[in-house]
Amino acid sequence: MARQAIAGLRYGQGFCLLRLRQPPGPALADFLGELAGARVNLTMLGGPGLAGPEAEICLCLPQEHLAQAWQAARELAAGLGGPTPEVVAPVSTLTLYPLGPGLSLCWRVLAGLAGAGLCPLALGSSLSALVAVLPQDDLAAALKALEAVVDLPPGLGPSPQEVQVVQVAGPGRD
Amino acid sequence: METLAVYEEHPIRTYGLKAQEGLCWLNAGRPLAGLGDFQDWGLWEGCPRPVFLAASLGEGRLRLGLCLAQADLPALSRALAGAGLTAEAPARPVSLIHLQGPHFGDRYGIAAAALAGLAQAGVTPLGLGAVVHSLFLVVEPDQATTALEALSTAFSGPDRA
Repeated sequence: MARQAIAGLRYGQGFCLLRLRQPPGPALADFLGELAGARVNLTMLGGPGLAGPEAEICLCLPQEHLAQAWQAARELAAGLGGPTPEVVAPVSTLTLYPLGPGLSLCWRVLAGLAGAGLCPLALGSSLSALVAVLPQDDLAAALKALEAVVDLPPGLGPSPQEVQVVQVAGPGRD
Repeated sequence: METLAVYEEHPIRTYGLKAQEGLCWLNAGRPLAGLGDFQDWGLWEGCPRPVFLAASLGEGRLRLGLCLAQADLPALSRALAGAGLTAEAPARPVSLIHLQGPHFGDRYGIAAAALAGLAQAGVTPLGLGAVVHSLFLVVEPDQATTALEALSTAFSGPDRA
């Protein structure tokens, strides 16, 4: 398998993933507002679409907020008569950049992990980076599997996300 | 190492607040089985890249949501087919609002503020992605102006269109 040159690969640990199916717009806004009110940052948010019968969205957030987020998600689903949200914990994140042409990087990650019997739970891209969420137990094996599909600069290996930026309330707020 | 950030922004500053036109939203999927056997890496060479993608994997299936330029749809569709992906429905025209600002990926409440603004204006996003410091909001083309006006209450940017 041809390897794709990338500039960086970072990984994070200690997260959880919530998967909500059929989340209608206004209710989703209220749900996210509740999480914001509890100062829960969403590490990643996204899904294959919010319209139609197969609407779905995944949220990746710090595991310390799992209980509260899970409760809010279940109440949202119960109130709408929707399916029970799925939760996976703990999970890790992988951030790779830059993206390259087409779905090149995304497909290398998927195929490389699949070749090792692994499967991420969710993927998302920004303008220049790809983030994959996978069970934390699979992290070590995933980093090993990715060695066959991506090339980091000489002397550079996957690095943990050591610098964490945490937003605290501003002056005059609680 | 932990860095504490204090943000007290009303409205929330962004690097830009405008809608991209001429895009489409495509849902495609395939079974997870056989993904590890993929070898046709030349498939992606010269292939246009979607503006953003979001994927969910589970129950033996990969589901992709892709936002891309309408002009790129034929070439990307061919590549997706070569990778075993089939469209779940015809691609639909959309507009995209991309919000990006300092430490958006580290701050709570950004997506909540955006969706609250849209909900108040009666705009339901067709797709949503928040990855690193980018927040993507996919809306019907005829709702883009309404969406921008709704977002301008909670967000500000150096330019708006």
